[in-house]
Amino acid sequence: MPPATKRSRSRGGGAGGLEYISLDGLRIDGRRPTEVRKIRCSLGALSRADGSAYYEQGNTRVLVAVYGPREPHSRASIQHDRAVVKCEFSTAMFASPVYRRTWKGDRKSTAAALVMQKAFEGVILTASYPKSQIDIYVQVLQNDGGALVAAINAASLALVNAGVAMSDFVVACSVGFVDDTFVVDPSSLESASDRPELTLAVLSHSAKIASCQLDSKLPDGESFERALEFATSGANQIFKVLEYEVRKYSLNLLDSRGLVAL
Amino acid sequence: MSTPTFSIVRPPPPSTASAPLSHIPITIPGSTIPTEDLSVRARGTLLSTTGSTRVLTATVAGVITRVNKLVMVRPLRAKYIPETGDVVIGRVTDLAGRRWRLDVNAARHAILLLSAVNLPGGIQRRRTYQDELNMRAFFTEGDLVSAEVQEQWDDGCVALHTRSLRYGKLSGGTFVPVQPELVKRAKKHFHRLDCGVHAILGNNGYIFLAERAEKEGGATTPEMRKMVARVRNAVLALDTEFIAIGPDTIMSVYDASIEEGVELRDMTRPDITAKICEGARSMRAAA
Repeated sequence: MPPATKRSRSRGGGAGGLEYISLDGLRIDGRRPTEVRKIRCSLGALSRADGSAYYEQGNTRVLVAVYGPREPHSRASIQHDRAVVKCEFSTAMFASPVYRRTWKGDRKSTAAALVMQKAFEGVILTASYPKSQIDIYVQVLQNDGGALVAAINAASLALVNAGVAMSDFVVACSVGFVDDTFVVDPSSLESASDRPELTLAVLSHSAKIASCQLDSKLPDGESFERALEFATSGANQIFKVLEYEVRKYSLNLLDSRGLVAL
Repeated sequence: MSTPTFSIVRPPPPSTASAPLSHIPITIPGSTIPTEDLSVRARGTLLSTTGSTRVLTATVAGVITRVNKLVMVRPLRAKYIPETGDVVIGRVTDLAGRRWRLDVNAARHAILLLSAVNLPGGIQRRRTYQDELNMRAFFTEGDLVSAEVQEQWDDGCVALHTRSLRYGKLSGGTFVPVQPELVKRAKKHFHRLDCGVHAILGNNGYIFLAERAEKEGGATTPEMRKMVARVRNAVLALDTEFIAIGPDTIMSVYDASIEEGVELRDMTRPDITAKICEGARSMRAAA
């Protein structure tokens, strides 16, 4: 490590002079820079929705319900050749340490909903469901950083659970840049540093990019490439867990219903 | 700096999930389906090009099914996909000119034309303007109707008909929605269960239970109502356990619940549900 980098590191990160990377090279919560938080998820968490998923990434917890394809509520939104994808992103009042009144129409939620809608519109084979509508409802139960990442991953699971046809499986991962180090899957403490953060949603098999968002600037183009690389490898790792979950869930369903029955 | 490496998130080997079925390939959207030349792709598959190679990929999570050259992927859970000849139960959502629109648990509402219902008198006659004005006398918004899928139109819309004495408005019973893939296509969808309850198992996952068949008179006793409620809970138990729903499995759960002395209200408790469904679960091989 060149001395210049060391000096900047010793200056610390946030307002309180927080050190994001310890001398051992570990992060605040003890993870290595390339380490994703622990993931737990389950499919079919809600019985009334067509598809649903509960997803945990560290302390970030998200519940997603998918309804559809179904008849559109308003005649005005009907597209005669494809399905319309709608997304609603809301955060529970108790989701963050500060108990605050949240509204699903606020700026952040609308932005997150729009990102998800665009990402999934490209993946869902909307042309096979003409004149119908697919609704994705996201509820963030606990926000410890990376709520959008968790929401995208959970929505992918919920769409699979609903049996909606998609050209590929979307996985998201974010990368932070603190103390001159790329940290995969930043927690809320690392996100609060106001350092550059890249949120990437990739298609797991074709490796195409479904959505890419960069908050504040990275120093140069090369580091952007690096960040993309980190995010992609993080997403691949998350995909392995999600794929395993889908497989386990499907085998359980198959086991209880029986192979022959159809 | 080297390429980022990850080591911590490591799922356990998939073989532990359901050991007897672990050899079955489960697809996930985007995963490649192994194919031979001249395969014909069908529902649930997509031909995608990566670079210069063209591979067949799955679009849903499910099981690969092959019939000769035909390759398809059947999703384990999905919305109901109507097919001609299916017996369905629908709820009337609105009336448009000369037609009712019914919610049949599919991607779009189904259509029941005025010309596809039996008018009183049973004779084939022209549908007059007067009939059109009287449409609400047959079915109004919110009514449950049993019908058969007559045809699928070019725009993907589905038309129903009720041109049989079996089909028509449903009343005086209980409606239970379940997952549509649990109701198999069968010769018979109108059943009189061994306990005496009449059940209509709609292919679309809508099930109607009544203590007596339509147009059959007589008073309803509390015992009969409890019986219907027990059948309803049995159907719900099968739904939560994801076991195929038919007269045999319903009765198996019904009998098991009586044998175990389970109270009506306890039948939906998860632990009891699992217990009373054991018999029905073992029937899956024979199904």
